[in-house]
Amino acid sequence: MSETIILNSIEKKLERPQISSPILCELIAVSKEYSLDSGNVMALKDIHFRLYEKDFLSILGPSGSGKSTLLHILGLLSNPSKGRIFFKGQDVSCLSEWALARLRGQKIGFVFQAFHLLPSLNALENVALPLIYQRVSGGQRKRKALEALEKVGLARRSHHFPRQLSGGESQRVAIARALVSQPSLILADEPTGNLDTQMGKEILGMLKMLNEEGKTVVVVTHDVRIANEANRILFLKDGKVESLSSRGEAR
Amino acid sequence: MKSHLIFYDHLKTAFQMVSTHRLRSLLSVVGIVFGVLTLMVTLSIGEGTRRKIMKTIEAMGSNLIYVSSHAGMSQDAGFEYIPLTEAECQRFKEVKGIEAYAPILSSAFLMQASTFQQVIPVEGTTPSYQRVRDLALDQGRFLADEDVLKESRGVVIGKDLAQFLFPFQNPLNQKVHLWDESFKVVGVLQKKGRTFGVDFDREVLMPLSTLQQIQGKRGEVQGAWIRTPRGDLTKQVMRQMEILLSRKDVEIWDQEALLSKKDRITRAFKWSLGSIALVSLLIGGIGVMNVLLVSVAERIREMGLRKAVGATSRDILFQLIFESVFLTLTGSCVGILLGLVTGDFIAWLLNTLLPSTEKWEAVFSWSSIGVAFHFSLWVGLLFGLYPAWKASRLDPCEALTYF
Ligand SMILES: Nc1ncnc2c1ncn2[C@@H]1O[C@H](COP(=O)(O)OP(=O)(O)OP(=O)(O)O)[C@@H](O)[C@H]1O
Ligand SMILES: [Mg+2]
Repeated sequence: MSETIILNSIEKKLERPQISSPILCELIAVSKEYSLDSGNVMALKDIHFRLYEKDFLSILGPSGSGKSTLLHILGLLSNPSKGRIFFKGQDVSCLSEWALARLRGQKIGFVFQAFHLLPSLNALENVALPLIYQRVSGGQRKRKALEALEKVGLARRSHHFPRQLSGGESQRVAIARALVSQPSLILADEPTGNLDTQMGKEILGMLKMLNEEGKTVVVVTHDVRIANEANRILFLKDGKVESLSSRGEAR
Repeated sequence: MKSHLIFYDHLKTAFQMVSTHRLRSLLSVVGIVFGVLTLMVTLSIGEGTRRKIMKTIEAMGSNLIYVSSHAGMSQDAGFEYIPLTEAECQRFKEVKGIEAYAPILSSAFLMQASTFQQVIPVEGTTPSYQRVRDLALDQGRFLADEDVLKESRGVVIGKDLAQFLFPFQNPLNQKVHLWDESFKVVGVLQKKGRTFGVDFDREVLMPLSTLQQIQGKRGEVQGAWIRTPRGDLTKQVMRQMEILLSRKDVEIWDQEALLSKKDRITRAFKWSLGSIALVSLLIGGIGVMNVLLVSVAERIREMGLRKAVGATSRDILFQLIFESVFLTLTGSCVGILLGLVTGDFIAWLLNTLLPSTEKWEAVFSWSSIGVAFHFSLWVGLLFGLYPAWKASRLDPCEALTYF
């Protein structure tokens, strides 16, 4: 896949009308450095960028460019080495570990390339997992988890274990899990990487539907066709923002 | 915070871990199971032995005193001692508050009969022994003053022994052979059972002078039994005897002194064995820790995911400590059950191998179960702490990308 195609598609996005919407998440001068025995790795270098509510952003870039690292920082799973992150206007560096965990559990849903379903739990229990940590009672948990499974069309499979599900079904269960606490932000790291084109389309459709329902969606991908479905595309290279199709952004 | 909700989930996760890795969990708790088992067995058999000894001593009666020139309570008189003399015993008459006394020389003989050959305890004593030890006769008579004077070859034998030797005959006036001497049975004791080291039912009583003559110990005795009219006089009598004998190597015991000494010894014994068991339980904890460390290494991605969906480090920490405690407590339950069975089995084995009037028994107390359970709980907490801490410190991003 040549970069010109990617850049062309980004230009198309730039032509879209600008809509202003509240800022969900803002990164200011964010850097992430990993220290290894063999020396330090700068995974992200001086990232400035805003994520708006109801946004559908895709993050594109070559392998090792820092896409996953950026997604983890957006999901408050790791702290930047430098810089600040504001989530809903709140400086997250001021939050306690407990408050961060609560934000992750209630406001953010993750979808991973490898699904990350717990093999010892059935579909329903996997979906209900985030609710455990919000101390939701058993009955409520079941009800909400079933609702989320229905939404991804897998209510019939609620008692199946991950090993009894196909890749596409597993990923839908994972999406249901990301939905179950009705978060405002869904972060997906190559959600279609392990699936065939047909399944990939289905998953993408689901993410689009969620975006239309008002959730902010960020998808990391290698696939330009998937990236093109998003409202905005962020192109990363060597840990830096190479380009960003800005829409509604007052720069 | 509704923490009982998460408690239930931890329990469920712990249960799932154990049930999906049955063999591994089993192996990890083997140490705990054996530690608890040993603890239960040592405590129950120890307590059983203590009670057995106490019962034997209690059967002695509170108005008896035993004097010996050594701690000669044990039947195997293999050690050396400076004997008491008959002359010393004669002076007991001077002590106020003595109802009766009887000097004792004990020994053992190999008895040969057509049907059996066995080592039989033999005591040489005087006629007053009957009164002192409250011995009733089934047949014939007890030893008489004349027997002692004449060093006669008349003996009084226990009921069981009589039935053994003469199952179809009247034992009176029958001959018994001890070593190479021949004796005549003059009396048979009523069944009395084993009281305080002496099984009267299997024993032979002969005149003191006769035994002294056979053993070449003229004028020597091993000890003496003294009877006071009432239990509250024993202390006073003991004090007088101490002054009278004025010998450092003489020990004077009454029931109370024996009880407290034996009690101390058996308690110490029980707990020294028990603490060895506790140490093995502690070592068992290492097995649990090992398995938890493996389990944590295996579930790194699971821990990462749990954090991604909102678990705090504390949630992870508690979950793993919970699993550790769950494992050890399961192990200790198995150990307790096995310990109950094994204790009873050992008691049964002792009863078949070493039969005695006071039965061997395994005494299980709630306190020993409590000790086992409590200790396993701490072992679980202690050895779960490190794996749990390790798991809780995992960086979720690294954990999620870990393969
Ligand atoms: N835990 C870590 N420790 C050290 N270096 C890391 C760690 N995680 C990521 N890196 C490094 O940071 C850089 C960015 O990694 P990242 O996983 O974000 O890339 P990516 O864009 O997601 O790549 P891919 O498309 O292959 O998933 C890489 O050079 C990687 O080696
Ligand atoms: Mg990646």
